[in-house]
Amino acid sequence: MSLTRRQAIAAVAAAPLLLAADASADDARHAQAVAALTQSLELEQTAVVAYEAIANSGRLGLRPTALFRQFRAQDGVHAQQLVMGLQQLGAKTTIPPRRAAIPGLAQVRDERSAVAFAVVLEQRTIAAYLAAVPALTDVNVRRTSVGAMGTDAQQLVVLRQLAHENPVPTPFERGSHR
Amino acid sequence: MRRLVEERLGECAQIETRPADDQRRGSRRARLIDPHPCGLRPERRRISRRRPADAVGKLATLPLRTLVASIVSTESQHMSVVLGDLGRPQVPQPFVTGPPPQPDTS
Repeated sequence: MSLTRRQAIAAVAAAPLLLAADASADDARHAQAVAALTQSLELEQTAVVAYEAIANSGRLGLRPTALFRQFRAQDGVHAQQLVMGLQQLGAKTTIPPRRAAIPGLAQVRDERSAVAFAVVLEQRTIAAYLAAVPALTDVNVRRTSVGAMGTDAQQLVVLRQLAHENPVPTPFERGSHR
Repeated sequence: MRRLVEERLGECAQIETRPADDQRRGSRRARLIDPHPCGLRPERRRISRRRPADAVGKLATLPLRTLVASIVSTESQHMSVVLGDLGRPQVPQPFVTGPPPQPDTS
């Protein structure tokens, strides 16, 4: 196959435009990935601060206290990995919220309200991860995010059992944005 | 799950489970058959040869990525319930996919 001179000139002229379009699409994907990871990080950081406050409140029994400590530690590891993922993308990371700035935490007064609070938070976190998964371009970050999401889904099972709810109510756990 | 994956991949995918293999290997792996020239061969290979959690990292089709991720979540939940029934820790590790890869410091 041979190009005519006119076709060759047109191809050379169009190349920068195509490259610019590619770069623009890459930028959009990058911004989407950063936004998605940042939202997941904010929720994991919220869980770390809130679960620590709940576990140290002295209002829970022995087992729920131990569970909240365990979940706090695991969510801390998730947050660390998300910070590393964002740094790899060259993005700024968020700092953990103050206790007073976490909506609903002040209303936690006993085990029941603590579990209800945590269920909502875990559902939001799972939904954020699920929204992030398509946007993430790095295979390792994507795999790590899915691993963290699976663990949050397991935490949700334990919390639902504490609340005497069906631990796996749906065949596709997608969390909730409520 | 089979129906949904087939829907996502369109008519290019027909999944056939292999009971004999499943029993031999003690797994529930599925095999995708009847290949068509639809450009989906890599996706089929990724689903058929890898665990779903690994597949999410490799899949290029965005809706399929989300679907498989939600399946991983639910399967993790099933595992958590079973572990609880066995009297074992229900959330044994921070990542159900295993430890994340460490950054290369060399």
